Amino acid sequence: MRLRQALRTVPGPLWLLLAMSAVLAVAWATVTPPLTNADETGHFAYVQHFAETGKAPTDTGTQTLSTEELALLAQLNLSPTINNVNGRPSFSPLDRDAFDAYEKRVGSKDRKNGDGPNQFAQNGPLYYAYGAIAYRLTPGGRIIDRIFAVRLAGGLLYVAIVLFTWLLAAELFAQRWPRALAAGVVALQPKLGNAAGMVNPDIMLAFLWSAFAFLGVRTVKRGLTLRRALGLGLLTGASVLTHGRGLALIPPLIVAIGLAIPKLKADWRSYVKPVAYAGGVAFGCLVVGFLYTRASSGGAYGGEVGQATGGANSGGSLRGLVAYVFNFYLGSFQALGPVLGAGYGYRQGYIETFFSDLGSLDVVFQPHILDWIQILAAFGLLTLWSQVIWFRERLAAHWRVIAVLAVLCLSQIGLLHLASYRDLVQSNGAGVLWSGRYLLPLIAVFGVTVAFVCSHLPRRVAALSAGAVLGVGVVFQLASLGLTLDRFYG
Amino acid sequence: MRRAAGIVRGAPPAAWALLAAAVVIVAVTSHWMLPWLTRDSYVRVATPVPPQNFGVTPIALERGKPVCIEDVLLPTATQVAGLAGSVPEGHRPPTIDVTVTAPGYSHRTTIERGWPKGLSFTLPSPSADVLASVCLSTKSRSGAILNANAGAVVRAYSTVDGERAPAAVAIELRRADPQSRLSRLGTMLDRAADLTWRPFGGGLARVLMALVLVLVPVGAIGALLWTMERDRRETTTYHEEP
Repeated sequence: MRLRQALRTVPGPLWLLLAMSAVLAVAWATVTPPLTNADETGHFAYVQHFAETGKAPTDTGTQTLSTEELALLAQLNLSPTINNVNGRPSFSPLDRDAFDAYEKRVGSKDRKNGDGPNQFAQNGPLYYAYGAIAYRLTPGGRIIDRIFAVRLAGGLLYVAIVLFTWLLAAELFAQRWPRALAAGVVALQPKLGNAAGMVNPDIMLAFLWSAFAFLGVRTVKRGLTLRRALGLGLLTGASVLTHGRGLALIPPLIVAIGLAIPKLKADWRSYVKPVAYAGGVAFGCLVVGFLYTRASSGGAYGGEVGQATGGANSGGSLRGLVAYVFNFYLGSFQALGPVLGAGYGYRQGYIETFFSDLGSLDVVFQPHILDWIQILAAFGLLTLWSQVIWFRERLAAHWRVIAVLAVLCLSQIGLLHLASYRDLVQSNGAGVLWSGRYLLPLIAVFGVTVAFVCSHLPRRVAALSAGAVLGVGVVFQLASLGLTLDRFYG
Repeated sequence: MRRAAGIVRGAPPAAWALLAAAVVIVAVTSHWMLPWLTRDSYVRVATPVPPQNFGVTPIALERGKPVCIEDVLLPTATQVAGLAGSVPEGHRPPTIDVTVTAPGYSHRTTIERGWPKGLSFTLPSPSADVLASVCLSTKSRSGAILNANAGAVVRAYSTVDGERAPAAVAIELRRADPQSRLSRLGTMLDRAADLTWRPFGGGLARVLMALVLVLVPVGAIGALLWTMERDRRETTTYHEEP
């Protein structure tokens, strides 16, 4: 009854956006063959082992992928399709029949034996446990159906991300249309759609961060209650238990809780309980995450802390870090000396791998299209900067909200830079641990930022720009789906 | 004229947003998407051994030492087999004899000297999908270099003069006539449906595609226009109140 009443209050445009997102989630789960997305073989191996045995794979096991998964990769020619634009899966009934015959006789032993070494054994268990539910609930037990089901479970999180973006925008904008714009921008981001249509914990991280952005802003606006504090603590804890990169949600938790507490008055005791709840839950998850991941060779929390703080023998320096970040955004600068990771910067990290690099990272837009995206992004950032200056007094009144969102971004981007720099130092400049996919936890903030920029333009220009932005999103989304379908099935 | 200008100036924000979205969608679709959809390209029917993504692993085809690719899946739609290769500098690409055999299937052909159509040959489509053996030989003294794939985990494998080679010669099977992506959209959807949830057949894949094509523009832009219109009505009502 309560649910029905709540559903009745959902505005029509939001229903429309959620329906569109649901359809897109199914479409993205369909346009790529099983296991062919970035790192999908390893992530599915984790889900399968967890679902079949109740345990995570290790990084020292005897067989990386289960016999069933290996058979699927080999029989349907999926293995040579991964990371090779010239490869296609087998479309032959001969192969499908052979695999179906294998599926009829496959035993549970062949499903349970993917105990590792799995490179994702260092990840927290939350996403894999969630995927394992979808895996177990799949009727029939065919591996292809199970992969599809786990992908659809990711699709549910994608729909929820769109919902939370709307809710976040509702906290920030009095008018309705910026909410539709923010949620629309997020729903039409092809990288997010692709992440939703694959077996990968990034979509859960994006969901948790989007929910946190909403709840954090709501909390600093409306005050700290026990439920809100508990919610923030749970989201932070869940983020830590999902992936090492989820650790970056701890600073925003501290900031959100801190800013939600008004000047300490006589009743300061009333805040002790919520703060203790939020801190307790987050700390509890931190401990569980540590105990769960410490055994892996990468170190606790997927090695994220070790990479970010240096560890004992990693080398690197503050000067080196500054030079690396400077180079990342502004290009190499002779005075800073030789720079690690030269050639990988803003264009690659924020444009190419955030808007392109779909499927097994080989579905890419042509450089001139990416040029246009970069120009639009630069124009948007410049407009944002001008608006921040122009409306500084009005914005200053909402500094708490802005601080929460800013810390959310800085914390994630800071951790990425630290981890990436440490990785560059350890690999002597060979590997860059940065992909646009890692920015997806900030997707809701991205959506409301675009909405802010458009809604603070003069009335007619605002309408024109909002329409144009969503127009670009529509063609971009459809083109991405088309390119991906053609890459694998054309 | 003045009246028309007045109407344009007084148009609600939703109309401006719709106009901008429509202009962008029409411009991008006509400039990039339609040419891409209607441009002809060749149709792959199978990639038993795809070419290497980076670099080349060479396998020498020498006189008296035939190179065979075994367990090559030959689908019924096969009309052309494509290989890739080169010749030592200063030499002309030699004539290559090709024999394709499978249970109930046999075909012999020759790739002409100079490889005027590239290192590829036509072959009759088999009546059913079969696993075939493709053997290449040359009488030329200079021979040729065939491109192979050393890293791919594939069923097909190669032999040189009967001995198993460390890499498999890259081979791709395709239809003879190129087709536009638009004309083979149905085939692509059928292929995608085959590799998803079993009840999800080609029909449902088409319904899904139709939903995407309708709901993506209608959902995103419709939601924006709907909210803009509601905002405008509320603002108008507010201003009209005494």
